Amino acid sequence: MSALISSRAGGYLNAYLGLIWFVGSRHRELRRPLLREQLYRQIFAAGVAALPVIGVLAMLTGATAATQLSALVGADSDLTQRMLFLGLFYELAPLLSALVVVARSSAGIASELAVMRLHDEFTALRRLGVPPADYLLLPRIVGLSLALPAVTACFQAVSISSGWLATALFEGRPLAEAAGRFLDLADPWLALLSLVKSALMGAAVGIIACHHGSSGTRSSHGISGAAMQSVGTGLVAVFVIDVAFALLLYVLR
Amino acid sequence: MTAALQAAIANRQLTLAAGDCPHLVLRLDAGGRHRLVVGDGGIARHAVDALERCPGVGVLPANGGLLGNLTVADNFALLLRYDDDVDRSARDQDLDAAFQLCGLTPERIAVLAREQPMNLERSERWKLGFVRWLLRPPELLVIDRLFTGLTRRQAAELIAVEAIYHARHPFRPVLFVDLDSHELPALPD
Repeated sequence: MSALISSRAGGYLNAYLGLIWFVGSRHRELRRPLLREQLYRQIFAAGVAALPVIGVLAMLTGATAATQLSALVGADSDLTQRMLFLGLFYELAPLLSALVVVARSSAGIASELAVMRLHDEFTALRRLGVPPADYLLLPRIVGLSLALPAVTACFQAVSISSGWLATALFEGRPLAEAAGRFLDLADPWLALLSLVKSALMGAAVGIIACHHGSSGTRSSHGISGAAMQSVGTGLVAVFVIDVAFALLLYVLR
Repeated sequence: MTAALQAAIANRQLTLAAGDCPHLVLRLDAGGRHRLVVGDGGIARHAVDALERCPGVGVLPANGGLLGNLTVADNFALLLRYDDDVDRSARDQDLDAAFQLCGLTPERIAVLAREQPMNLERSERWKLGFVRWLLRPPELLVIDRLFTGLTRRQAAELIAVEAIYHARHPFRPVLFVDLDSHELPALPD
């Protein structure tokens, strides 16, 4: 049993590495107008269309985190601002944004590709003279790698703003003061690192969804299987990347 | 024809063989219609797959081979714009002319452009797929199991449409891969 699991895990890993190599070697194809259109469509679907959910989630998370931390540690404390920056801005924002994208886009991409595979549309594309991997996989993987950092940046902006607003409203402190103390303590390199982390999470989610969507069994059962596997594996990948960055930060400090 | 089928092109001649036994030999610049009749769908699929692996061979399946989730207009945009190095106005004129040659009126084309191929009749889907090869003829066009499930009238109509290809590209051969059936319509000479 364990041999079966390890061989399957090894197979998945090889496939994911193959897709990383594929993106690295074929990314110049995105200069083609039709592939760029596909890329913009993916960025819109995974990024812009997710903004209402992200906005609401970020507003609620920011307000909750700021008021709870203020209640526990005190609004004046530098510790509150540090925890807001490290906990909410650096950790939670990329993680929650990635979870939203996994829930929305990963299942969507995997099931769309599985349906296309079921209807033999990969072959139809090849017969049209269009390389199926370039047209279907490349824009999706690159699109998610670009969309997730943008979504994360929006999450960070909205959640921190709502946190400042909540602090100002409930504790009667001027908004500029709360914002000023946070910005004094914020580390721009960590802000940049959180976006790099998001880009990696986006790439991982895209690669996993594309692999499961394009390689499952050709049946109606295979469509739901592809969606479930891509969401499950995507979640694991997101948490693994998050832990890896947390360890990296720990080692660097 | 049970051994693995393999197709190869050498000296402008295509050979489809199972092991050492050749089943079909075609000269690529001689034009004309040819027919490969096989016993069942599995063999037909293997034969088409083997032929398709040869460079310069185009396959037209019975359903036209267009993408079901795109509109007809998007399908043609994908086909014509992927290698965006063709003069656009000349390309659009060619496309209109090809549609009309296949018996599609400008009004019908306008309606079809917004439809998804999966919502069209099979013979109309086939015609649209055929227009694609009419514009970009391959060295050998393989027409895969066109007549399965068609009435005599529909088959005769599509054979008439196919004749346009020979008139436009007289030196490009067409190979019909068909299932062995007593309903199989005769091909014109």
